[in-house]
Amino acid sequence: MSRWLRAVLVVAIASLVVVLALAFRRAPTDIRTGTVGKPAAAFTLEKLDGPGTWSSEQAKGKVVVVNFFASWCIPCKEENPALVRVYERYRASDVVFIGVLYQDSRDSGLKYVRDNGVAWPTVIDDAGRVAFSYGVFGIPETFFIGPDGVIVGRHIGPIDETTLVRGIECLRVPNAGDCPRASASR
Amino acid sequence: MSWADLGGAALRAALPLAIWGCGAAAYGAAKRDGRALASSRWSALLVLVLVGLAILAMEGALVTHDFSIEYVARNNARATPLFFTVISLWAALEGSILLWTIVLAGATAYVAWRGVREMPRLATVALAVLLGMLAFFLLLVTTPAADPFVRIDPPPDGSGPNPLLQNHPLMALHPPLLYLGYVLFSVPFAYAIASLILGEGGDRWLVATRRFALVSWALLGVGIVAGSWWSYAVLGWGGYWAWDPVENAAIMPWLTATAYLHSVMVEEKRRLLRTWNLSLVITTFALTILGTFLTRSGVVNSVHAFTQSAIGPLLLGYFVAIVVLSVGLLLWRMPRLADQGGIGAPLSREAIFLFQNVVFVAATLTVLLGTLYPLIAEAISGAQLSIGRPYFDRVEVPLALALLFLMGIGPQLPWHGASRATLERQFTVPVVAAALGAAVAVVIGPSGVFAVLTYALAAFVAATVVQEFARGVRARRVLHGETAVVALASLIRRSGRRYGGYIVHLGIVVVAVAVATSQAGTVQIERTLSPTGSVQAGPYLLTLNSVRDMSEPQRELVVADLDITGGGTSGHLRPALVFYPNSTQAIGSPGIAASPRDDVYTILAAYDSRAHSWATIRVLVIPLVSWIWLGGAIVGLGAVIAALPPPRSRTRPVTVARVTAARVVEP
Repeated sequence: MSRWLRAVLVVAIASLVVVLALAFRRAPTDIRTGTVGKPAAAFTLEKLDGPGTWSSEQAKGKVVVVNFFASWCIPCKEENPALVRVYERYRASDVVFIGVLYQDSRDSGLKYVRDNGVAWPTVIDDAGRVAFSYGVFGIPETFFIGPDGVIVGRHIGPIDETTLVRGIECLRVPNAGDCPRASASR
Repeated sequence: MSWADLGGAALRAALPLAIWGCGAAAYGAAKRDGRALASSRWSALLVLVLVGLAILAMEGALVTHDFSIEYVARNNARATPLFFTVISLWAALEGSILLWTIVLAGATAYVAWRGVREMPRLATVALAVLLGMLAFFLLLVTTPAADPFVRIDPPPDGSGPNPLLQNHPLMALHPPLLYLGYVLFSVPFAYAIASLILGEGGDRWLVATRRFALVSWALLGVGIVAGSWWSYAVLGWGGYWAWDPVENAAIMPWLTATAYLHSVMVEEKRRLLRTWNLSLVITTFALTILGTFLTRSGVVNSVHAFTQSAIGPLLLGYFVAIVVLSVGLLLWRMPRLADQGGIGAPLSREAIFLFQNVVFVAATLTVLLGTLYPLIAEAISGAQLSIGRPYFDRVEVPLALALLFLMGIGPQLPWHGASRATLERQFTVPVVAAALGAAVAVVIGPSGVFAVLTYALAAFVAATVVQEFARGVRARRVLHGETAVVALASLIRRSGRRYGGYIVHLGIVVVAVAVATSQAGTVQIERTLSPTGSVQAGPYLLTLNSVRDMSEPQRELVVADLDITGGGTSGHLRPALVFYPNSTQAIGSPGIAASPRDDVYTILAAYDSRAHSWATIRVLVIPLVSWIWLGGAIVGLGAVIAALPPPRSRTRPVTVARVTAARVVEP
């Protein structure tokens, strides 16, 4: 084995050990807030159901609910009825819902949206770059963004109606109480 | 004496014995000291007896509901049925490490008593390695890291096992099979390390451990399939494989072990790939430890992951020690391991095996990268994310198809190289079969390029297997005048390794076709039904009779009673939501009507909790899914046949004319 190959082997093993050791910096049950409290990354993505793009600029100054989903994700289907109900409740308000299709094909995404009654705007993030900039841990994942463009809360896993409404109401109504920074349902 | 006293004392006595035995075996091998060797052999046996005693103590505590032991209080309750009480031994971290320890102790005792008799020096060093590893696991179970006998003030009742683990009898099979697979690979690893320590250039270690490697591989494979089945029958999502980090942790060593089982033949026949084989054994063993680390340290999120405990850093240290020492030894001894000659012709069996090995390793590395990517991203950027299923599907499906193709080619080629005539003789029928397979897929099978390719390649491999069996049977009939059935039986019995291998290939073909069809052809419908309401799914009509509450001693259920008719089936299905006292979340329990053609898989997704006036039922019609479990069983059967020792040969006179005739039918 050449000296060069030996060096690659040693570096690979050392890197693996460092990565595994660094994972102990947090408890596995502790889902860190990550991007919570930071300005949400701006993005422009292609619309799932047609030509044109959707830009986060369009929702400036509004309360935004960003939901990451995919057709291959079983828990996404589980949470969808709650999303549909809450969307209907806020449809006429200034709350903006945006669904981001994560690592999925356009055809599968469109079929999912049609079959599951997703009426809010959806965009396609095939390469997962927007998900990465939001620090998505695993889908489904929902982010609550205030009118000032700052991520106020996130929910990992299938979200229920109560958590959704609480996350929105604390942003819409002044003095409605502190917004939950991070929650999970797995 | 309480169960905790008995079990704890047995484990604490076993630890110094294992350390002593390790030292004595190392000294005995270095100084060729018979007394030291005998002492290490007795130590190995005593450690097995003591760990066995600890297992009995834990089972005693579980069965008698001794809640003064924390493990029992957390994983058992008075209402837990006896069957699930007994298997609670591996329901949580401490018990599963104890199970691991007894399997390792058993393998060590086997090497001490059987292995040492066959290859004294090599096996003695391997014994030292095994006892060293055993000492590490005994350290875990005698310290707070994974002590199963920690005492507490006994509560009036325990909290019962994890709900997911008491929902299906497959829990009795899946974890022990995986542990056996993981742990038995310690034996080939220990012999490989012993061979490196002694500086042996030959392949004695390989001959000594071939059967262990095969059995360990088969148990791991069957364990993985049993786990998929459990996930399918219990988790209520209609799938059987999710590229979950812990599933990945099990598949990785299985992939490298599969590569090893093939490349080992190249070393036996051609004396090539010595360093490669040692590397594969070390990699496979290191991956089993990495898998254990990922499952038990809690660094990855997974349905399988146990809660975090002090065991994580200890397992990481163990993994580092294993990797550094074995890779260091390999690099040190590499000059002695040089192959004589090279692979030669690209269309030879050894070249295809090597190529197939490279694909197996590529598959392993890409799964490893996908599994560790969240940890890598977190280490670099601090962001937490996970890798979705599309990554694995995109990368692994083409690699799996490449492996299927090579599985058909490799065994058909002779060693050293093939002539044009050989290629024609070996591949005409399989190529025709592949074309037919593709046609079947296009006409009646699932749609999609990958599905069509899978059908074509599956038919190709199946044809090679049938061709091999047919030629073997014909040759025996000519040579020995046997009937076809007797010839087939003798073939399997006398050349078990070869024909067992073909049966394994057949099992893999069945799994591949079933996976491709079930993935591409699943129909899913979700409807909210009132009683007497019905939903049509494919040829099946499902009618909701009622939604009702049920009570069992250890759990409450909400059951949807469904009638199923059509498609030649009629019967009842009972998908349910199950509520356990120790869990706030309901566990979905699917109702499944299984048949060779397809499974009707029903899930109770939601229901009216006040008046039980409606229920949302999700129905999946999943084609051929049962064949995955059958394919797993065929793989297991093939492995058993391949692992059986051949019968002692009895020479029978065979005429020259018969030999000539047989040569005509068997290449």
